[in-house]
Amino acid sequence: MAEENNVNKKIDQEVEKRLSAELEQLKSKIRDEVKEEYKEKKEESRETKEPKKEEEEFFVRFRLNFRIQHIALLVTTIMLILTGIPLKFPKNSVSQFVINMFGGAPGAREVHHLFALGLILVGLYHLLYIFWAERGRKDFFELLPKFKDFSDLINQLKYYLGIRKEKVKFGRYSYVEKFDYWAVYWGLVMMIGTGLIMWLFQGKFTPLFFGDINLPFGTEIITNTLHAIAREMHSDEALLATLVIISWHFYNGHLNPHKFPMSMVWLTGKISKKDMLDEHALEYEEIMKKKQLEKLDKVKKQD
Amino acid sequence: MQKCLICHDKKDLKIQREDGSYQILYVDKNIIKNSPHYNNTCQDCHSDIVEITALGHKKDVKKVQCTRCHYENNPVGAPETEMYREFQESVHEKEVLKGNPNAPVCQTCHGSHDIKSRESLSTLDLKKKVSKMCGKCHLDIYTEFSTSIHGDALFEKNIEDVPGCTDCHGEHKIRQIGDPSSTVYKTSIYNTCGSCHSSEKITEKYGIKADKFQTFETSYHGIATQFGEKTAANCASCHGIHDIKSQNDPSSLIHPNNIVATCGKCHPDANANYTKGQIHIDKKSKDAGSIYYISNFFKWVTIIILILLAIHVILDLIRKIKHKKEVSTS
Repeated sequence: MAEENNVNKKIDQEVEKRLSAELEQLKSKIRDEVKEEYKEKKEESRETKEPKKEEEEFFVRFRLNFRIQHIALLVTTIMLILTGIPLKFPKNSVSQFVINMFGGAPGAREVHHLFALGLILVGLYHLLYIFWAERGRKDFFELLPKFKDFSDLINQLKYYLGIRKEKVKFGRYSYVEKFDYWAVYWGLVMMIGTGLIMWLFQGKFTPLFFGDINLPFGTEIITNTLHAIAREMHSDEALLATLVIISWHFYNGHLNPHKFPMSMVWLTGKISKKDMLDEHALEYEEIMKKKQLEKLDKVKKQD
Repeated sequence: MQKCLICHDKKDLKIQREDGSYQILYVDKNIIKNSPHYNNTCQDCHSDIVEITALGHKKDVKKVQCTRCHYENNPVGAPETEMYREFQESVHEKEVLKGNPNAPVCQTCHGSHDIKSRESLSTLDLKKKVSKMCGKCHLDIYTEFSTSIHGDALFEKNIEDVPGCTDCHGEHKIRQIGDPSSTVYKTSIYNTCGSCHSSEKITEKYGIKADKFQTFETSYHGIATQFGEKTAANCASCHGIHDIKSQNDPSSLIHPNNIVATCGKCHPDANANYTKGQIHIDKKSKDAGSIYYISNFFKWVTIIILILLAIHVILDLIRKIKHKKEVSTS
């Protein structure tokens, strides 16, 4: 019996020995695993706190062609405003200063005519662009006002007033941008139309270095009354357009807290994923859907 | 005075000038006694005559200098005036300094022994007299002026509010027309015309339209003028200078038969279309027709659009500021 007991004891001792050894191994293994998991978590939290800029996803919003059109439009418009609006306030000292910079009324007039020609060319180029360029045609149809714009406006106002909790989802162009676009369209038609009436009535174009060019047929058709009407409309529409650009376009593109000092999209053409989700959520969803479909197609082809 | 009058009281006292004409040297003592200078002696003014002998005095007597007494803080009590300083800047004084023998000095206009104070004549008579005085030298302009609507009103209709020469050109500080500080300079003349033609008192009294000044200021010609463009038309470019006439007068520059030619002075392409419709347009008056309604339409469209846009901008701004605060606090 005594021998049997001894053997049993030895067996028990051996089992415990092996068990403790195994346990040690398991413990260290689990510790390693936990360590790794902990590391991963730390890294993850760091990433969410400081997203690396290089890795941020960007979308192309405006292509080079469109960006150049915008720059040409803004340069001509600013020059036209500088040489035009002061004429409405001849007694103001700032007006006097600005017009004197262009060499007085005759200089300002010639600069105004030169950039007017530029604006006409930008307008004509844009017309060609929306007819012939695929991207232009697409954008033009996207920019046409739709019923959704009116419901968007009402929902946005509700959101501003706190009646609506979730953000309004906009497509490629929100009603804010559509208003900007069509305001320019209307402005160009008005300003170029009335401007040409006055210009042809005066009948002269003196581009800075090329001497006088006489413009034909102006005085045959245009009467003093028609000229006066055109002048009134040109002057009134100019002030309206300038005020809209300053209040609406500058606020939405530059001065509001999300964009200040300005949105870079007009220069780089790129928009970040964050801004995309913020301002053009529907367009983002569409792009993502397309990408997924493309992926699926690829996978199917590979199969 | 008595000593001088021994000779100068003689009515046939005269001296032959170099060119053969005679200068009468007779002095009527009554004229001096009725002038403001009745208390002065001859040598107070003719100060360069010192020695008087039985044979008379020196021959090269200088012109009298009024500024001997008429300056500020003078001790003899002559009326103090700044006029002589204004005269020093005038075109007349410039000519005097150049040595032009016909250039006027004080006594050319004011008279010498027969000088009279301004108050001794009524405004109307003074205006007539002054204009005639200018006409002595500026005869062509005087005849042109007297046939104009202003001259006719002054000399024929005896209207005292009408401008004589000095009302536009100034009195002592008459400048050359090319001098930018002249009241009739290209870019200032509209203000000079406007001083009467925008005055409600005058325009109401004579039934002239008061809007001509303001409508010129808002026209392109007026705006360019205010920015200093010298080639832009001013009042005188279309209405004439000294020959301003009513538009009903066939010889007027703005008579319907002549107006195209008047525009054509600057706009060689001018044709009948240039004259169709109003020239002086007041967009704030219903007389302007379609322009009145267009201007009002745009005014209200601008106001309404800007109010709506401002509301949207302000709501958006409030919302975005709130959103920023929420993000920063969480």
